[in-house]
Amino acid sequence: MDPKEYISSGKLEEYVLGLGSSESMQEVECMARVFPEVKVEILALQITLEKNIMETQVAPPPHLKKQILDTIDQLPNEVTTPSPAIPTGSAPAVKKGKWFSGLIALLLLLLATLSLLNFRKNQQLTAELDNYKSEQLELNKNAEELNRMLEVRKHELRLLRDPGMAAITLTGTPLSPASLAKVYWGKTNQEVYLEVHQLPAPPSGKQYQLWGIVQGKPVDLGIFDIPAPSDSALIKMKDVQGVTTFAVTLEPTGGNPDPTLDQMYVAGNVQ
Amino acid sequence: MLLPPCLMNYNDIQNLPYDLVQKIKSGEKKSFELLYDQYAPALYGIILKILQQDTASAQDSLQDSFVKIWKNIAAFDESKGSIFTWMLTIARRTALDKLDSIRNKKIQNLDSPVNITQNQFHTHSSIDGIGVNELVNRLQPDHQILISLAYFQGYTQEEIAQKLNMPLGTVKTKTRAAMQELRNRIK
Repeated sequence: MDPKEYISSGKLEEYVLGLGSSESMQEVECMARVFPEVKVEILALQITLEKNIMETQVAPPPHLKKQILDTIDQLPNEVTTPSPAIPTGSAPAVKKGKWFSGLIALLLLLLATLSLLNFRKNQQLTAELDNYKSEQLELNKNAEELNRMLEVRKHELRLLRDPGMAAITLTGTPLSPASLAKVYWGKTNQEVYLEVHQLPAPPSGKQYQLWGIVQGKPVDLGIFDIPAPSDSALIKMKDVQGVTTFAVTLEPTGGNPDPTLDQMYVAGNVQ
Repeated sequence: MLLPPCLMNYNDIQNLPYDLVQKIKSGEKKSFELLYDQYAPALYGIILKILQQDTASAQDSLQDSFVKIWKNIAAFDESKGSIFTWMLTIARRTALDKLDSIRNKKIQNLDSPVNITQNQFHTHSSIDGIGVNELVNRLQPDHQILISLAYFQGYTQEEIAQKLNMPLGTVKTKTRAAMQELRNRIK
């Protein structure tokens, strides 16, 4: 518990005015013993209250003083006689000797201190545990992501190592000389994979499309988006047989039945 | 007094011998007289407010308070606060007990519906009519009522909730707010 927060909770004013329950009175007294700043605050409040009450004094009738002193004179001659308990936190009655109430107070203080320490420790541990939990969650996520990427790369490696797989480099056309892509084509299983090395980002409403020239005619091998770095670099395209040339054109989103030839970005012949 | 030096601007207390409490604890009546001379007027003032200027009951309560103070002085713990705060608590408690017994007598005397109405009317008017402390008068009205009911009339928060027909939670929040306001005023 933060002593500053405690000071501004209003409990100290309740205590000073004698409005709290006896539990809350005890709580305030324990807090005052544990935190000096709480104690200073209580004393300051008491003094302000006293000053205010001192401002409105009324002199009691003179005979009352004598009457009171006479009453006291008639009391048994020990000041510490057990007397009816005064039910207030600030003015406890004498109970079974001073050592007894002292012991109780000490035990209460000890209990309060221990529970306070325990509470703090508990809060701290809970916060730490939460931290560890979120860290672990983060680590799990990273591990999953890495596993996924590893699987992707393994798959890519298996494809590339396949002796039946031909690699065809598609170089940039005069339209976009810096563009570059590669097609991996399984001549036996007809599978086609595209690897984009360099292509300008397509304008909105446009998409790239891969074509294969089979017996002099363009065959649609599918549209594709430029993959994000974490995704597989190899894009699976449509299977095809007997291709002589691969080419990529920029087409309206969704693709075109026939290639727009003046929008050809890369092309490469099968060796 | 075990007060930090910064709080030692309290003239009335400084006039008293520093070992006054020790002397009273050892049974010295002369010192007790000094204590009475110093604080009886302030305690009488607060007791009169609680007992709504009923001087006979107030004098009884003041006497009871000082007898209790004398009997229980050994239990006063200087490390917890000033002797005046401690005496104030005793005096307030004693006066509130007196107020309770007066109220109970009034309830016993009730035998007709007319009296009940009058009594209720009296209770309500006493909220405004009570001579509340200067300090409390400076508070905003609804806070004044709460503090007056609690401090000067000794009602518990549950009773105040019933009296003002307000949920207990609201009474608690408002009391706290009143305390905060009080705190800002008396600083």
